[in-house]
Amino acid sequence: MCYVVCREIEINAVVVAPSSQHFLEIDERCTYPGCTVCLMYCPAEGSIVETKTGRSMVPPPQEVWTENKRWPRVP
Amino acid sequence: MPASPSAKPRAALAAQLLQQSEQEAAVTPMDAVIEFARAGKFTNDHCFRLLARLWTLKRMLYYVYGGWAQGINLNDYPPGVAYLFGKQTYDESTQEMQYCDEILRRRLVPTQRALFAHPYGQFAIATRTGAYIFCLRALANYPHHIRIAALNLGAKVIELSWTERFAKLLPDESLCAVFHSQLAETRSHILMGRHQVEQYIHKDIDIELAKRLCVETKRDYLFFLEETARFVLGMAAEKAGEVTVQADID
Amino acid sequence: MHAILKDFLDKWVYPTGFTGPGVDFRLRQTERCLPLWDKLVLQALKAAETDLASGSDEYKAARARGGYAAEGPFMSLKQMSTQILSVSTDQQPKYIDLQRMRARQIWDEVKHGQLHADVMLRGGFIKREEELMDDPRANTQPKLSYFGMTAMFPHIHPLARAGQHYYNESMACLGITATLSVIDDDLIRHQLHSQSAEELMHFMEGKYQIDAYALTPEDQKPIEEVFDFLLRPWAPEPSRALGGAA
Ligand code: SF4
Ligand SMILES: [Fe+2]
Ligand SMILES: [Fe+2]
Repeated sequence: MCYVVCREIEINAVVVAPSSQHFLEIDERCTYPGCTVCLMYCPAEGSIVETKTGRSMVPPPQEVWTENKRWPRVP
Repeated sequence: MPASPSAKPRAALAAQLLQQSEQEAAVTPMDAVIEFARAGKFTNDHCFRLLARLWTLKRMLYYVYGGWAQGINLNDYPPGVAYLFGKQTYDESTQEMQYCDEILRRRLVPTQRALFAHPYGQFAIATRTGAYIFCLRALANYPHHIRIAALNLGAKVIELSWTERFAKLLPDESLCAVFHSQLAETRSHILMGRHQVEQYIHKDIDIELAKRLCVETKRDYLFFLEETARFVLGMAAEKAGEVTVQADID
Repeated sequence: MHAILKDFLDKWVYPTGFTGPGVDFRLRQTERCLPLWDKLVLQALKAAETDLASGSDEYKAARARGGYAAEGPFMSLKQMSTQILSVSTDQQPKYIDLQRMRARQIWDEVKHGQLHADVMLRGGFIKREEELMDDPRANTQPKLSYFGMTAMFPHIHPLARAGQHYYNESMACLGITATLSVIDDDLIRHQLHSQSAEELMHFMEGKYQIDAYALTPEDQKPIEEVFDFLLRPWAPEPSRALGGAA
């Protein structure tokens, strides 16, 4: 889901890689840990890992979905 | 001719459609775009125009594939046909996303919303892009194996050919990589088109329809390429005198 | 509440990336779903135990046929393409991601059909997948009204499908986890493992669509009506593939 979420919040850090397998890649536009929103919509346990600590961010640890980390949606 | 052609004429039909399409693919309006780029004249704006037109076509394909899928019923074909068409639908969507991503990655627009709003990314009904999309949408009126013959052994052969050239000859490496990454998918669509024509075209009328629809589909695709190339290179659109007037047909 | 459901809620339902009316609406709907999700887990566990105790391999074929009927290649192509068509061209700037998700889901679900066919093939129940196409049990959709409802979404609202995604794809996830906790058969486990991440993806799509897009009463209404339908006492049962009777 990261590609859908990231485009929706207009950061656009997730891209279809220019390889025949067309994997999704997260590039330098990602503002983590400032933004963590896509982690809450990622279904693949263990698939996103914090480089600094090596810990898995999926499912998201409690401290990343506190109120001040969430993205406000207004109609 | 027998009422039900044997495997041989079916294979011959697939080979014939492929061969004709390959011939037509040898020279297309997209060559002018390559020449222009190789002469070092391709600016960011040219690149934006190219990616935006290709993206616009791919984003309209959702309506074509959605419409076709609605017309494949249980046991019309063996399950493999539905399976392959599911993959083709997903591949086209991936390529649509890829064009959009490349535009965003190059900061040609700040957001996807802005791309939809930008003049280069508009879908307009009264265009060759519109005509090609409508042509494909009308193929929903035919059995799946016939429309697959028209698209996968027609327009897609031409698409593969110019994409291969772009992948090899464009001076911009990351642009080459984008086109190169699509080759395996487009090739597989052509191969599965060949397989389906060989397997499922059983009647003489289907052979004849496949040939005729393939011709018209390719013609509309080539006109789409012409419109795209002219747009990328900033040339005027076709003039009124260049088309022949036809009477209404419905 | 069963531990399988609690774990699912803590990992996937409650972590929330947005604040706003969409999230509030989703959490209200979640409350309504909880008793039925819990019931589904218990049913799936019971069905798996009964299957295991049956002492025959027939349950594997019954599950695979049921799964094929619900998500075989033809059914999947039809069901998911209605979603692609639910976004009008003037709404595409807002909702193109729904079309992208659905194009992907067509591919996911036709693969799931193949996984059920694999159980039949590798289990020695059939020799060629084509044989399945002659078997009404592998081609009778578990509830026509459910699939017909999906087919109506292009005429209702592009977000209406989010109700089915949220309520039913979660059941697929819960049913898979519950079944895996009981059944030790390799064929069945392979089929379930292979599709579990994608089923979770489909649930997440429902969650995301509601959180991110269902922000006004006008956009929430068609989704809420889908929940109303699905939560009726005569609501669709889970497929035989996941331990239901159908
Ligand atoms: S964490 Fe935020 S910026 Fe990074 S990929 Fe996810 S949505 Fe995009
Ligand atoms: Fe599935
Ligand atoms: Fe699913």
